[in-house]
Amino acid sequence: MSGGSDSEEKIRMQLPIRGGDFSKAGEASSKIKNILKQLGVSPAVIKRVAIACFESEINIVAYANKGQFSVDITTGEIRVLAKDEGPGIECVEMAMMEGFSTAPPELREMGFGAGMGLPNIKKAVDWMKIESQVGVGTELEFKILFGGGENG
Amino acid sequence: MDKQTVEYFHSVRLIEEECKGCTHCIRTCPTEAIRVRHGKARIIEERCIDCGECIRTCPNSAKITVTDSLEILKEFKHKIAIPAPSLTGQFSSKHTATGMLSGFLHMGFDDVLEVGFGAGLLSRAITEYLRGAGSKIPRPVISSACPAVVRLIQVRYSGLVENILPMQSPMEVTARYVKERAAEATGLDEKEIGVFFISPCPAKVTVVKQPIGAERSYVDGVIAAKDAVNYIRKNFDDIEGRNGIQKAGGSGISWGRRGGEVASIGIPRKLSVDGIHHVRKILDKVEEGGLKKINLIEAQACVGGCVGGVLMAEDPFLAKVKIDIVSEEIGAKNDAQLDEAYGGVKKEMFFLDGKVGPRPITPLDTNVDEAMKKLKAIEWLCGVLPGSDCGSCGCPTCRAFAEDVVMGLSTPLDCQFKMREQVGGLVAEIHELLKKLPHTEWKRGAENEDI
Repeated sequence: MSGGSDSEEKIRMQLPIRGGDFSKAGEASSKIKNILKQLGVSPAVIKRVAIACFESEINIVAYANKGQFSVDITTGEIRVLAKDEGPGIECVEMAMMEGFSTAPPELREMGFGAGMGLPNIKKAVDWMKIESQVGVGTELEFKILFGGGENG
Repeated sequence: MDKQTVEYFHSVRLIEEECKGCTHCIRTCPTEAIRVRHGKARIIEERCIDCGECIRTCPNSAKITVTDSLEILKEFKHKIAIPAPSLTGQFSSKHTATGMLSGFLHMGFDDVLEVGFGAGLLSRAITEYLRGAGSKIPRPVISSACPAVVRLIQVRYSGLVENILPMQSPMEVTARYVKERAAEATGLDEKEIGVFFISPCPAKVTVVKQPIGAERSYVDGVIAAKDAVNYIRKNFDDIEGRNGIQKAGGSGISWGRRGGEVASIGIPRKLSVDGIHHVRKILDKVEEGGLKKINLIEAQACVGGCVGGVLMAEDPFLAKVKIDIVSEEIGAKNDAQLDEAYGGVKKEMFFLDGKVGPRPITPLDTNVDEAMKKLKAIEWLCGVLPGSDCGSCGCPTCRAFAEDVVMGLSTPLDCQFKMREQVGGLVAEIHELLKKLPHTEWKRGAENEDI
């Protein structure tokens, strides 16, 4: 991919995500993925975006009442702000550690809550920021550069 | 368009005269590869994966598979039929395996070997490979047996080409095995020996003409399964059973239906999925980083597996039961022969010569800035289109229509709703104009204000 972030072209999207509805989980991520394919972004980068988006979408579906993706795509990068109204994370530092999960047993039975969500996102992105307030919700923002390779 | 036609061979074609321009096929196509243009359903070559969904869904039989006719047999001195494992499911219990296979000799072939035999060899090779050197391939490994799925990955999931099992299909393994063996036995040159695959689907026709990850195909022609089934059913009473035909093992035959492949591979944690639309859902999950603990995915484009292919004669669910019955009856009966055959072949025959490369559909523009501009226009258009996906414009969805408009392939007025809006606007304008009466009519006009 050529072109830098100084380019004026920018696409902005709001994608709502419903909490608790696992049958629709992944739709917002799929939409983002398909748009990047149309832009000709490299498969390796798309894979990283897909992982990060899907993991954060699942987090919203699994834990929050509702949430949304605010997506900004420029010629050089994608930025996603995943914001939800949910229980929040008590200790973000712990949640960032592999294997640590706050998932209740019923979620684990469905195959979620392995404690890999946030660590997987971190591995996939070039930059991330997470802010959470217990009882209010979580804001996760991340950025992936299109020029990057397999591991960013 | 011309360039694409040369670049990609497709076995799925349209008979123009039969096409009524309905919208059935554009909706079911998994890669949005069809548009109705000027009343006919045109295929966008670079997107088509030859899965045959449009053939299945067309109410007017306007979509067909181009296969070879039996005439092509004349071009070879020694002719060998290799029927797909799914063929076993096409006959009733009175048609024994020997009867079915002898039917091909009656048809004019000199020899016959079930692809289920090659599947038996291949499952041994896959097991060995995935336990050994193949443990390095990223998980989940995706089987390469269904060519429509492999094409789907190349076109729509190019990030997953690394996950494709780098091995030949049972068809290729069987073709090579039988051709080399026949060359040795007859003393003929390989070019004089014709191997013909009896196929359940169009995707196999395509992959023979345009091999994926291989220099060449050992198959010389592809004949539609239903044609062969018809012939054998019709002539069955005249068919003389020949003894001593090499037969497939029970597990090799079960490759003809969903689940047969994974059941024959000796590694744990396998997944089997069928039906192209469901295959897409599973591939989406893999692309999003999921299913890493699954070792092997058997993904088949047709519901039920190969028994569901559009070139089949029998109902797929009945065919599956028949395969299960025959496969169980044979069980491990032929396994000793298969082990012996496996010991006698060079293992490289099971592997692809080259890598399966991505073949992504052309992005909106090669220039990123231009692509962004087009994408913005598409997003905007999507917002003003009705979103009813009615199909009258000839596109599968409003979004696909928006893409076509931005790419210059459609005009906004191809949308019925947009056109009605425009016409509505014109009518309102005419109505306004009609109110403007000449001065001589002024008095009367004032009385009839609501014309």
